[in-house]
Amino acid sequence: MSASEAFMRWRYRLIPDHVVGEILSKNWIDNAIPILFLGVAVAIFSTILPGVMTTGSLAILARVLGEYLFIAMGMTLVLKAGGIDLSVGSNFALCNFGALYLVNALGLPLIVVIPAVLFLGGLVGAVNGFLVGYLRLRAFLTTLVTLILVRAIVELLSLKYSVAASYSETLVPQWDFLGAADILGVPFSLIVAGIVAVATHILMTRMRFGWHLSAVGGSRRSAFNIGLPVKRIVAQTYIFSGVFTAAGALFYASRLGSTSGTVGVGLEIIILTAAVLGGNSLGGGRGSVAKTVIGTMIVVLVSNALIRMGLRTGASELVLGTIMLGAVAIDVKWMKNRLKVLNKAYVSPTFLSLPPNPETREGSGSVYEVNNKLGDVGVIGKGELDGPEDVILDEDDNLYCGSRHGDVVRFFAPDYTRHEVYAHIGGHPLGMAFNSDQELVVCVGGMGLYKITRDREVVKLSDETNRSLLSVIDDSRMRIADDLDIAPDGRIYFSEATIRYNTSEWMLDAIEARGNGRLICYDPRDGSSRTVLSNLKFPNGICMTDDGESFLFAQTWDCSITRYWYDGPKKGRREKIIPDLPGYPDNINRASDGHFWCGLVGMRSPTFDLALRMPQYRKRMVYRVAADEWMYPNMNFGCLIKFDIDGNILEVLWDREGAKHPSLTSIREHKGKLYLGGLFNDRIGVYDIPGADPTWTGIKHYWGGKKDG
Amino acid sequence: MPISAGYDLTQGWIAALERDAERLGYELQIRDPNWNIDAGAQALEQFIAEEPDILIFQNNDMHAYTKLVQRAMRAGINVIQMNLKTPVNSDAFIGGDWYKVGADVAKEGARMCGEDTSGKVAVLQGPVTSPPSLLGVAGIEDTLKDYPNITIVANQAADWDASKAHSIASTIIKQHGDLCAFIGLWDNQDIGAAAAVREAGLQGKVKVVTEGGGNQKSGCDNISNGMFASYVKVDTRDQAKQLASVVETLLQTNPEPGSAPFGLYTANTLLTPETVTASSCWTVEQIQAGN
Repeated sequence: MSASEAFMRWRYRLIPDHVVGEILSKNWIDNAIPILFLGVAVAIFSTILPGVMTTGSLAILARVLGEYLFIAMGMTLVLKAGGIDLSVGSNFALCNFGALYLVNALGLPLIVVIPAVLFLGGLVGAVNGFLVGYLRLRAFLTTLVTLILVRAIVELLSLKYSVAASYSETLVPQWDFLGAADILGVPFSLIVAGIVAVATHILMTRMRFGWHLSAVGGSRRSAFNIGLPVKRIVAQTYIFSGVFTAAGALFYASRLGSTSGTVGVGLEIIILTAAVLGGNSLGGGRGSVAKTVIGTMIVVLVSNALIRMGLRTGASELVLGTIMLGAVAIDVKWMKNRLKVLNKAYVSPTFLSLPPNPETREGSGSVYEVNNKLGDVGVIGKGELDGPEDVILDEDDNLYCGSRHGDVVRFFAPDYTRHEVYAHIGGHPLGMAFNSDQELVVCVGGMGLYKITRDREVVKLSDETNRSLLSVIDDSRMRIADDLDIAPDGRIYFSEATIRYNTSEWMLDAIEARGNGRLICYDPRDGSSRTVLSNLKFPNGICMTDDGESFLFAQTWDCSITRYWYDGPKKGRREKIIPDLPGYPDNINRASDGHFWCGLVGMRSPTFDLALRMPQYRKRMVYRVAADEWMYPNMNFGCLIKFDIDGNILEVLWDREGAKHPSLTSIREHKGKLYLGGLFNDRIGVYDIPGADPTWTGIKHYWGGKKDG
Repeated sequence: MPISAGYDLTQGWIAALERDAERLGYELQIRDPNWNIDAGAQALEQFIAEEPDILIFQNNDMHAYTKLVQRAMRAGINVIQMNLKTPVNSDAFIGGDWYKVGADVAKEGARMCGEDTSGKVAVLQGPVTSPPSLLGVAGIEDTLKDYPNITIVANQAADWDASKAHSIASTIIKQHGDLCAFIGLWDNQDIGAAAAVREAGLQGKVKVVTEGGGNQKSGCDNISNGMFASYVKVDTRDQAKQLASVVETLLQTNPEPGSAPFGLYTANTLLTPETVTASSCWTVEQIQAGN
């Protein structure tokens, strides 16, 4: 190996490039930018403005934060459903005025004032809701009009009544408490806002209304088509916005007691800035209370700092406006490009140097020499099957296979012309084995490990394993449970090909060629699952050996077959018995003569082998070339090998034309015949093995003769 | 903390303080809430937390900052209220006598709308709860009781905003074709009304009476060119000088906050196109230079 390759090997071993894509794929990444922004803002302002982070200073921020939070949460609900509420500023002024008039001019008690003001705010929201939701007017224009209308009402009222509303003859201590009180140093308004925030969070994430909001905001038409009351949901968001605005106004009115005409002017811009800065989308569908809280904190911090910096008239608004513009731009760009960036950044090729590719040419004298032994095999279910990745036969010679439609299909012995859906699982069955109770245990892509009882009941055995400590993506969930075999004591060992891709994207894992896969052991005695081996390069077929303490497994991208001792004196040891296959191994199964069959799903090529040693090249390919033009391993061809426990190749069966059985994924020997499955095939092949034991069956080999009863 | 640092009155005061800060060596910090009451409250709270020796602020609204003034004084800060006073007394108030201003503009209005006119006047006030409006309108109404031929046909709040005054005035002119005068309470706002009058081709027929700080551009220039028929000057130049002196005094005496409150009420001077002279008004540069 050259020095540069050695360097490359270490560089890709030490620097975990794939983490970038995994972080980008997290849902919380939406919140990362605002939090970063908040951190930067805090850092900048506490440097240039000493004392920003003192308790006195924070108390001022906290009081304003509480009031803004209410309004921003209302706005979040509206935005989430795809609307916008510009009338919050005017509504705020109206509720502020209403509260002051009721308290100061009429001298009403708080128990009347608070519900009355909330109702008033809700009323304005209901008008918006009726116009936007039921009459389906444009939210932007409609609430802009209500903004102006309500503002005009406030001005008319204040001309007449604001002197009376501006102060009270008698002091109302509870009223002052609302805006001025601290509990344990935290403003009362912020405490109430916090409680409401938690409630709103639960409403948005855990309750039906919240899910409906997401649906309406994500796609109004689809939400309508599945029968959601879209109009009512949209209208409700505006009522929420109105009531929340009123709540904020109550605290504000109590704190400042001002009926000035400037109350609430421009508030809608501040609140929208807060909501969008936090990562709530203006287009609807994406938004959360957490985002809003972060955004509001940023806005309050920035606007307070701008006041403190003593910027002259207008400059503060200019800065806030610029920030809002930036936030909207990021929002639009992020929404548009996130998935694109993610798709490219997620695929993270690494260095893999395979041993020299063995010769396969006819006449080369190699053990892998091409022949046409599979060129003329019998065919079962041609055109009726779709993706029989694995096949298996029961003790009555019936044949089972999976299909991409999520079924296990049974062909009836002896002629296999009739078939039925044995069980519907819902995911693509990949690996199969019978347990000692003659129940079919199945690895299901995207779902996990299942079994089908003899009464055809589908039972989930396992769909999660222990989560590893440092994994960014959630690796406790199973993505591609691939093949399994069962130890004599009943423990089920199964492979999960990759933890980074779902079943439909499995080929992307080939471009990475990293050890993304693992072996998992499911113990039926206590129902637990735990990861046995990890960082395997697409572990695929698993097959028990006869010693009861080891099994063989194939690593597809590594073109190797390894023996692993799970028990006994050699427990934990690994030995690569075939390190250099000419193709990509898939399932491994037993042969009647004590050896093993393995299907090669595709063949190696010098170009792809070279590409595996050039991760930057593959990275560039991912970035610059359209996905359907990417270089993948050759999956158009395949063959079948028989090998012994020491890794000696005993026999190789080819379909030279690649017409009948390309990309073999599974082989099952049964009564002198080989049954062949393929991930992409529409048939099962049957091959007569010359000289094989005509009575040998896998199920008998594993679990003994037919049980009585 | 002014209401906004962006207009003539506050620029005049700040100019005087900046000059003295440099001359006497005290530090001046200015925060601009730009008409926003909430931002003003935040700025005041922030100032209180930082405990300056003296807190000078201009009140935007009758009651909004009352509690903050009390808190500042409890925290040991001497408080000066400029031009617009809260109901709470602090160490000093320097500003107009707004009731008297109302009375004076009303008298001027009445003088212009004598026997041979319709006697109809329209009042343009600022935000209704700001002290000059509250007290000024009371002064206007009380005074006009003595002039039975004068009727107030409209009383509107233009919120210290020229464009708002413009639209209100245009409407009133249309409604009352025989209007005699607008009685306003601030030149920066009423310039909008004067513009509306001129656009309607009624300059000279509909008089605009107003009040102002006597800035050359907003005041005297507009008197000379006939936009304002009469102008009650509450001289900012005087206020700026007084403010600078009070600051200087308080810094030396450092009294217990609020222990001896006093008010310095600015004298009202009448300016009309006939009486205006080159020295009637001031510019910021003059105040900076100490004149």
